[in-house]
Amino acid sequence: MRTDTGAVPTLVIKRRVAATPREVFELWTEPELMAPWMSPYPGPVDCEAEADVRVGGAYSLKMGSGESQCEIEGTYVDVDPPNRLVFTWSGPPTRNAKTLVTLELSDAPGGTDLVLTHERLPTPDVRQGHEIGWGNFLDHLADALGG
Amino acid sequence: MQHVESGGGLNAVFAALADPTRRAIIEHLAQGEARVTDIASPFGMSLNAVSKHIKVLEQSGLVRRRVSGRDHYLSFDKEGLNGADDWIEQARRFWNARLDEMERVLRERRAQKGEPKP
Repeated sequence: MRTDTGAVPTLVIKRRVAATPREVFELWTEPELMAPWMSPYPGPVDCEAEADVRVGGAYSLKMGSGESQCEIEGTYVDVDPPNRLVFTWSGPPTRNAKTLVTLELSDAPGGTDLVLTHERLPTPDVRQGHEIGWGNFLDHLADALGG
Repeated sequence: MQHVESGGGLNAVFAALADPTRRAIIEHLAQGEARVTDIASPFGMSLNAVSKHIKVLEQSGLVRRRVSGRDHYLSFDKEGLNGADDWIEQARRFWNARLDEMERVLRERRAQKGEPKP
């Protein structure tokens, strides 16, 4: 259990969408429907999407525009159509840090309330990496300080 | 998405901030420069244990070290936090633009299918 999530920078975006939760869910999970809008570049969207939509399944987005390329990949953590989709999100834009995206869709007057939460994950492997990387240095430091 | 490098990178900043002891150390240093030994004593930690936390903080760019004679002085560098704010702002722009496009696709699909708005 975490008690320190308050320190993890988290982005929350809420929006009411004029479509049913199922229609929105399809746009997030069916590759041919993801491709037309999942691109960070202005102008014509050019995205290759692959998605194995089940818990533990992988997806990838190869997004491009002219010379620019950007690839995002991750795995599904929770898949509960049409209300909830949780997946990791990493790639060059996150400096390959594993981030987590949670999409929540609920019925609302006139359509769907969409809540998107994107959070950084200070994962155990990141922490462990620091511990290992600095281990030798710390020994030297202790010596230098008269340990 | 453009991403700004800051200190040891955002991974390091977020890893550093995730630990309550390290946040307490930052709070301590936010009051002003302090020696490593000054930081260890209030936490009842060994010099070795506190040094591990300090190294993580230094790698994140949140803490800087100055050596004067035998003493190592630490200070908080709040520039290290800017990268975190930048990341949130970049992600916000990214997702807002994506959701605009998503709504466009939803409208097109509905128009194709001839469905009324719900």
